This record gives sequence, C-alpha cells and structure tokens, in this order.
Amino acid sequence: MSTVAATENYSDNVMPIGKMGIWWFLASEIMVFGGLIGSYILYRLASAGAWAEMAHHVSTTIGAINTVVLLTSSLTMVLAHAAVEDENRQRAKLYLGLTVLGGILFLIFKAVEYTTEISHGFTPLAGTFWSFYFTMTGLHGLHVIGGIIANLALFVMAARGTLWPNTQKRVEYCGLYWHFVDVVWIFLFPLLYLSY
Amino acid sequence: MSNTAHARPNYVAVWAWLVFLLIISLAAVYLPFSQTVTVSLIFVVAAVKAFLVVVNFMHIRMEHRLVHLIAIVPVIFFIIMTMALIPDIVYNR
Amino acid sequence: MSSSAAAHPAHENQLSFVRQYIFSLDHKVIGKQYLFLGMFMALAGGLLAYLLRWQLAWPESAVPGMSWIPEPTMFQGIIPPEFYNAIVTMHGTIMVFFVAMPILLGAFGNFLVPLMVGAPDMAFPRLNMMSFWTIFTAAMIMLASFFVPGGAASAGWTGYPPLSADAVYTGVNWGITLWILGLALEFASFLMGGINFLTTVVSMRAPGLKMMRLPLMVWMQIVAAVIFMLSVGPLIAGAVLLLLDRTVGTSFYAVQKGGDPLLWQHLFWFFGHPEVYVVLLPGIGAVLEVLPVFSRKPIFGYKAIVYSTIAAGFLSFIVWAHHMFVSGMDFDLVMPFSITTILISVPFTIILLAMIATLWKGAIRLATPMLFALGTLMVFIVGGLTGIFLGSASADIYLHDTYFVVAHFHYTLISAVFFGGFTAMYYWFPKMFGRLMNETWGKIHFALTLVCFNLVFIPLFKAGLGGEMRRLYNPFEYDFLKPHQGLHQFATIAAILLMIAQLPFLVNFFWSMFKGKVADRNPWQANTLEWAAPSPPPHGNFDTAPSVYHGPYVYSAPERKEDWQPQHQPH
Repeated sequence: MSTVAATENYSDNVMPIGKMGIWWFLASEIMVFGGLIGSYILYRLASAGAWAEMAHHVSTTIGAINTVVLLTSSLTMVLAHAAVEDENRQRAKLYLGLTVLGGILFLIFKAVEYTTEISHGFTPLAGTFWSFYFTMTGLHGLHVIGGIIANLALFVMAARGTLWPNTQKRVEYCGLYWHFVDVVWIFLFPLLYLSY
Repeated sequence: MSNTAHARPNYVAVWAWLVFLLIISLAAVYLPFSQTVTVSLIFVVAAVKAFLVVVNFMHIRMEHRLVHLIAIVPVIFFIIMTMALIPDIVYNR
Repeated sequence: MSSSAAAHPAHENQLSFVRQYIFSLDHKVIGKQYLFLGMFMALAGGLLAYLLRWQLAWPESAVPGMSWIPEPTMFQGIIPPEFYNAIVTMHGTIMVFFVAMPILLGAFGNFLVPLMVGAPDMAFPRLNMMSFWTIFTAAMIMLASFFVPGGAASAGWTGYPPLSADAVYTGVNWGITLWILGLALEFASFLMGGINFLTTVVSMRAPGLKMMRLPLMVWMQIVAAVIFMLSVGPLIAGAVLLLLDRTVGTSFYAVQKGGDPLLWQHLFWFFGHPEVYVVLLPGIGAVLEVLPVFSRKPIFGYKAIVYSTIAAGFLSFIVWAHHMFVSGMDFDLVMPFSITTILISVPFTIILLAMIATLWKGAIRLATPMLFALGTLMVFIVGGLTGIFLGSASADIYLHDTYFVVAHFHYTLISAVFFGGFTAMYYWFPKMFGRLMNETWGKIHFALTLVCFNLVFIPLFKAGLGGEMRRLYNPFEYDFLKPHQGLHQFATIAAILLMIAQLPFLVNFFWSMFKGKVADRNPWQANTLEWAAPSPPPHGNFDTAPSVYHGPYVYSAPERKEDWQPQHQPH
C-alpha cells in the first residue's frame, strides 16, 4: 500500500489513514454488536425467569477458560505490536504465531462447547435464549475466524520477512481489531454465562 | 511513529489484572450475594475490563480526540436505543 | 496500484481496458459506475412505478405494453394481487437503496469528495472498488429475486415480521431471503464507502483546507456517512435475526414462541429514519453548492448550516418511533418522539432560510442547475411542511399509512434524489465528462419535471386526507374510496407524463457526453477545488497538488476584478 505513503504529505492531520479507517470500521461494528446485545438484554429483561433456567445449562467453566484464552491472545497481540515497534523481528513473529494459536484454541473450546450443548438437545431452536446464544457467539466466532486469518497472513509475512520495511503498521491495525473482538467477548461472557 | 516515545504500559501486569477481574466476576456468581449485587458486580467488572483493554492494549489515550469520539459516540447511541426500547419490549408485551 | 496517486496522465494508457473501466481504482471511474448503476436501477424502479400507478387508476385491467411479462407473474398484462405486493415492495427498496444511495452518495460522493478536498484519490482505492462491486452484486440479487419461484419480496419495503418472517403469510420464500441478502450486501457496500469518505476527508485534505473551509457538499457527505455508519448496525443485527427466523426456524420475531415483532420495527426505523437524512443531505449539499455560484454571492450562514446539519444528524437518531405511532408501542414513548420529531424541523428550517437568504439580492443566473436547485428548495419545503402533520402523534394516528404519507415522503425524497440529483448532474456534468449539457433541453426537462411531479403527488395528498390506505391492491372495492378513482387516474396520467419528461434528459445526457460543447476547467466560474482540475480530471486529479487559501464561497468580493475567488489561488 505505498499509496498511503505517497499521499500522507497531503494531509495536515494526525494519524495514518489505515488507523483512521480501522477506527471507523470499529465504530460501525460497535453498532452491529450493540443492536444484537441490546435486543438480547431487552428480551432477557422481559422474560427473566424462564431464561435464567435455560442459562443454567451453559458451561461457565469453558466460558471462563475461553475468556482467559482470548485475554492472553490479546496480550500476545499487543506484545507483537511492541516487538514491531522495537524492530525485533523474531519476537514479532513469535507473538503473532501465539496470537493465531490463541484464536484457534478459542475456537476449539467453542466447538467442544457447541457439541456438548447440541448433544444435550440445546439447539438454536430450543428457546429464545439458545437462539440468542448461538447467534451472538456465532457472530463473535466469525469475527474470531476473520482475526485468525488476518493474523495468520501477518505471521506468514513476518516469517518470510516481507512485513518490513513498510507494511509493519498492519500489525497495529490488526491488533486494534483483535482487541475489539476481545472487548466484545468481555461483555458476552457475563451476558451469556454469568447472569442467571 | 511517535508512540515509542510514550511510556509503554506493563502489558503483562494489565493481563494479570484482567485475569484477576475475571476471577472476581466468577466469585461474584458463586458467592451467596443477592441477585442485584451479583448482576451489577459482573457488569461493572466487565466494563472495567473493557476499559483496561481499550486504554492499555488499544492505546486510546495516545490517540487524537477524534478517535475518542469515534469510540464513544456509538456507545452512546447504543445506550440511547436500548433505554428507549425498555418500555416497549420489556414492560409492554 | 502503487502509483495511483502519482498523477501521471500517461500512466492511464498503460492500463488495460478492464483495469481502466471495469475494475478501476480511480474514484472518478467508480463514481461513474455508481451513476450508471443507479440510472439503470431507476429504470427498473420506474417500470415498477408505472405498473403500480396503472393498477391504482384502472385496477385489474391490462397494463398497456406489459403483456409480454409471462404467467404467473402477470396474466396478459393484468397484475395479480401477489405481484402487486411485490411491485410496491421492490419499488421502495430499489428506489431508496439502489437508486438514491448509489447516485447521491456513490456517484457524486465518490466523484466529488476527493476532488473537493484536493486529494489525488480516495484513501483506500481498492476498498472503493470493492464497495462498488458489492453493491453491483446486491443489485443483481435484487433483480434476480423477481425470477425465483414465488417471485420477489412482498412484505413491504420495511419488511415487517411476521409478514417477512414466514412464507405462510405471503407465499414468497426465496424472494424475501434474497431481499435480506441483497440489503445486507448493500449495507456492507455503503459501510465500506462511508469509511472511505470519512478517512479521505479527515486525513487527506489539501494544505490549508481547514474543516471550516470545506465545501458544504463535503460536509453533507460526511455527515451522511457518519449517520449511515452509526444507524445501520442495529438493522444488520436485526436482519441477521430475521434471516435466522426464516432459514433456521428460530423465533426472535414470532410472538407465539416468545419473540416480539415490534423489535424489528424499532431496529428497522432506528436505521430507517436516519437513512432519510443519508439520502437527503447530499441532495441538499448539491443545492448549497449551486446557489452561491449562480447568485454570485457568498453562502449565507456557512457555520450555521454546518452546525444545523450536525444537529439534524444527531436528532435523526432519536426520532425513529414516529414511524410507529400506531404500531401498538408503549404510549409513554409517543410524546417524547413527537417532540423530537417536531424539533428536527428547526435545523432544517435554518438550512432552508440560509438558502433563501443566499438568493437575496444576488445576481441570479437561471441556468439549468440553478433551476433544479430552486425546484429542490420548493419541493422540499412542501415535503417538510407536510412532515410536521405526520410528526405530531394526534394527526398521525389518522394519517398513518394513507396516501398522505406516500405523497409526503415522495415530496421529501424526490426533492433530494430527483431534483437534487439533477442539480448535481447538470452542475458537475462538465467536470465528469468534459462537455457541457444542452441548456435549452435542460430547461425543457426542468419545466416538464416540476409540473408533472406536482401533478402526480398533489392528488395523493387529497386521497390520503380522504382516508385512503396505501398498499391496497384495489382500493375501489370499498364504497367510500370509489370517488377517489378520478384522483388516481389523474395522478397516473401525470406519472406517465413525468416518465416521458425524462426522455429529454436521457437524450441530452448521452448526446452531450459525446457531442456537447467542450467545457473548460471552470465553466460556471466557481471557487471549489474540483474546478481547479482539468475537465475531466485525469487519474490522480490535479496537475499540481493544490493549497487552499480561502473559504469556498468568496463571490463578488469588492476588491477583486472577477467576481469569484478560487480556493487555491492566494489572491
């Protein structure tokens, strides 16, 4: 994207366009998840008793483990960003790889969880709580998959050495997205797993 | 970029805090608090965790104030929307 | 791609035809692609309008010239009730999402924003290309939905469940699923476009171009982009829920299984009302550009207009439930939403007053763009004033879902899309294609359009006040509506004339593109930066990167020989 470099001197402004674009993207994402979370909260308030019963059947343990996994991969992501800033290519590669692994681990736990639930008859059709549960975690999971793909691409570039000299800022942009996915999970966890 | 000039937060310490807060919210569920206390506690903890991530991992404090606006305005609209729908969806079914 | 910003006209010749015209990264080519897509979809939407107007004037009679449409869609030109539902649904959907938005935001936004801020291209050219091809796919999905078993979506353009949630009610299964998918892609496309606009304006302005020196068209485009970006999210979420209800069988909107159809209405209008301003503001922006140029006066109250626009943008988020006064929603919500709705007329009144004050004692030149700008102003005032009736809940309970509403929103949307769009078209045509449009034919087009448009929709106000509900297949089955048939026949004849009145434009458009008088850089003696670039601008836009020294509307300054002061000239 050397267009970026060629046009930066036109701007009297403060930040690279990539970062600006990512932030606008995140703003629209807040509203997408906001609409979903808002609908969930409203339905939940409307039918408290029946839902609390259903919410008892989610696995808080796996949810908590997954929270730790995602928080940790956020940590490795930000460490990768720090390594990029320090021009430490080996560490950047290591941390990007760990971030990808964290995302994959999250999905594996999620798959185990889905399997257990569905085998116990809690399908998306088993009630409005389960419909919301699968929709919200599913949409979040799609975002995790997107983040894994992006981070994997960065990892491959770092391994090949093509991330430098002028595309390493992408680690920061990708990180912003990855932390956002983490923040969404931070709210989904109490909403779906803890409030019964 | 100029970001390196700023003092970097201790990322591992932030992570430790996040895990600690997670344990608090789990404890809130398993300890015999009243429902109101539990629910408010877990969501306050979630908000604090999100704040820690946004401030320390996403470095929002070093950003231009436009970024602060971009991050806050959607949250405000989300809150307005949800609040406005409470009488309709929650009480009026 | 790497040198797209480097402004080498010779570079253009090295690109293959496909890279230059189809998968182009140049914001001007992409803007024209949006324009042609919008014009093509306008033909489809116009055809549907013809069908439904005919059905309302002479119900269940063969529509002239339409006997070629095969069964079971139509029977020798006669429209069956199911297809009538699909017609009104798709007319609304196509006109709002695939005509208004591509033309006003997609075409003129894309073409003008980088030029007006003095940038060589959009911030993300590849994202820009992707956004066009996404909406192109969405448009094709929408058109394809006419040909699947069961026909196109027929739950109204608002897609209220339970009608839209289950094929039991409409007999349409695939049509509505495709409709949701098409809309989702359309939203994705304009989210990408909005991110591009906002980033370009924030980060790529020419040196000296402060925010308060931006042309008002750019302000309108970015406010529209922000409104769209922040309002569409909940509807995307709602559409996901609707899609799951249809395909998986969940029950988010099914009352009998614990869902709530009102939620969709709230999520839809949380987007739907801001969407009105997304479409309206760029049209107003075009008018605001044209008025000072053709009255040779600075715009009146630049800052007031900017702040009013932002205020209107904010208010547009807290008025949505005025579309739902009779939906059975909580009565406590009615009064607050009535108040905010009436409140939103304040910023728009300020904008309209600023427009009129700009004309005051100006040296007015009645060229075609100016005529259309004045037409926009007039039509929009009618639309805005009738909106006040609908905003107050007591009147709305009577008028809701009548032809009064239909006439009202056609007055507001057509003022922005049709008149505003033609204002922009005639004004920026020389910059887009390097040639001037024919003035005489332009004026004929304007006169016919203005007269015919009013003749179509004034009768509908009367029909609505008479209590006629919209979306009735054959309203004259009801005795009290039988006297309305004359009104509808009048409106239908006027509508057909309005469509014929667009022929001069089409001929003028294509003739001028190839044979019109060659335009120089600045045919209207305007100030804004796009007129500093060659007509049409090459890939990379400007010969030398411009710097900005003035606001955009310095006209008739007493110390200058010429009565205009281009933004990029120091003195």
